[in-house]
Amino acid sequence: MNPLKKFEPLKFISDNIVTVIFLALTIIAIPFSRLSGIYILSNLIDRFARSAFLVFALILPIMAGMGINFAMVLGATAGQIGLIFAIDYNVMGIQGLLLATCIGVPLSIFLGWFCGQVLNRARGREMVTGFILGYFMDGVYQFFGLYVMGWLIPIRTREVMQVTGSGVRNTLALGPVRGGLDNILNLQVGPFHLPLLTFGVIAFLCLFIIWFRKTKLGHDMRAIGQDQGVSHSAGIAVDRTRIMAIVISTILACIGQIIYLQNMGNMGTYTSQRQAGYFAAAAILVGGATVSKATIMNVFVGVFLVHSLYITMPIAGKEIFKSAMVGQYMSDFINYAIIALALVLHAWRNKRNADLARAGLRGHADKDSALAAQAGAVQ
Amino acid sequence: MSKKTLMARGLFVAAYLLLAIWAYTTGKGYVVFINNYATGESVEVFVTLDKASPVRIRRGGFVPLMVKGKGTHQIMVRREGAADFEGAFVYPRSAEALSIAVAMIMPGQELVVVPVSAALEER
Repeated sequence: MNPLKKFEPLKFISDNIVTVIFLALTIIAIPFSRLSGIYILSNLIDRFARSAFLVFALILPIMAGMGINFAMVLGATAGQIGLIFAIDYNVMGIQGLLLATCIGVPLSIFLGWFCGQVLNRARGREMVTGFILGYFMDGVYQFFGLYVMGWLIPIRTREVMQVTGSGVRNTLALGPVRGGLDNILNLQVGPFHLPLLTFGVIAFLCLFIIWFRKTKLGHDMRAIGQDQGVSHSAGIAVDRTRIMAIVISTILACIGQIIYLQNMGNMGTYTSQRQAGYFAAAAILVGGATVSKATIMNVFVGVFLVHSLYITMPIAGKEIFKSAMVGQYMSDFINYAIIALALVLHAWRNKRNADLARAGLRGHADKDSALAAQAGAVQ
Repeated sequence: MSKKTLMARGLFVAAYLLLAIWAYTTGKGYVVFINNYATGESVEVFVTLDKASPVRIRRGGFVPLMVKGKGTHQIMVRREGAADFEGAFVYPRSAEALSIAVAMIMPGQELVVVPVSAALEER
């Protein structure tokens, strides 16, 4: 059988509507921005190295049927706490990043476990619960950063401490660890900088995810993602496996945030972690993932598309509206709109599939007659 | 939990702690104050420590630079009207900060480093 014969363009567009809209917007923005292909590509390479790891953190919870893990903010926060200590202790380069990871990972394990416990009690509403948990963690983190640091935990470096003498500054320069990973094995090919070690770390994570899917735990997660009731009947420890998915996701978010910030070179102490969550969610959804299915390819496509828009839209906005800020607002607005659209589409598809299944039970064998019957019933 | 599992977990925790200690000890940054206080024909200089980017020091000025870990470090000094200097210095284990005077750096001679108090020098 020729697989091309089965290709239905309309169905393909309908299945990947979020990606198609984003791609169309990017293609429209590129000529208006008047940016050269080389500039866009070199920026894309840099930005891909910066944020791909972070987006991978979302795959496992989706696999386990928990939707987009908005609580990855907890892991990002743990990574930032690790970085604050690394900067305060004045540990430089890759060692600074390793120390930040060593401090951040146990914290993220604890936070992931806590988050998993909460999400197990909020079954079916994981995304909104995770979202609110992120806000809760924001408060705890601000209390930690503004009051505990400098009061219970001494701050030794003047550059880290606020001028009031207590608490961590709103913006931290990460000079000692800037490029700590990117600058090792950095290859220059024409106009492009290729941070080979960072790409190696991302490739290793891809291999880990591929391997993990084939393990017993990976199979369990997929089974739980399909049907929790059946998985429980089959003897799978559903709650424990869901907690494992969230813990691994939180650890990956912690490491991803450290990689992201070492590339940026500075950190909005009380805001960066929130942006990480929104960005990762938008990227994986733009890449074609849904809240119930995500692949490695979705991450790659999503990161490239979101960053393409981030690069071109502010300049295109400047050219069209004579204001760079309008372009910036538009890319932010599109990002949030994409998250909303993907969630609405998911809810709509779920409802449609349920209706189809119900109509099928009434004896409408094929999809078209089931839909017609459903439409007739509505009229 | 079996004895074997317990041992494996203990080893993992020990390796984790060792990694953190190694990162801290080998990656800790130490300050080196480099001054260009010399009199006479002193001009601005560019100083490179290890693999960092060159830093400009104006005539009569000083900059605090960081080096990773104690031990031997490379230094390169470029100045107009004089030969470039490339050499190495040892950061003493007991020092908390070092001071290097560009005027004292002469090609072919050993580099002079002076341990100082970091707080005092920054003032």
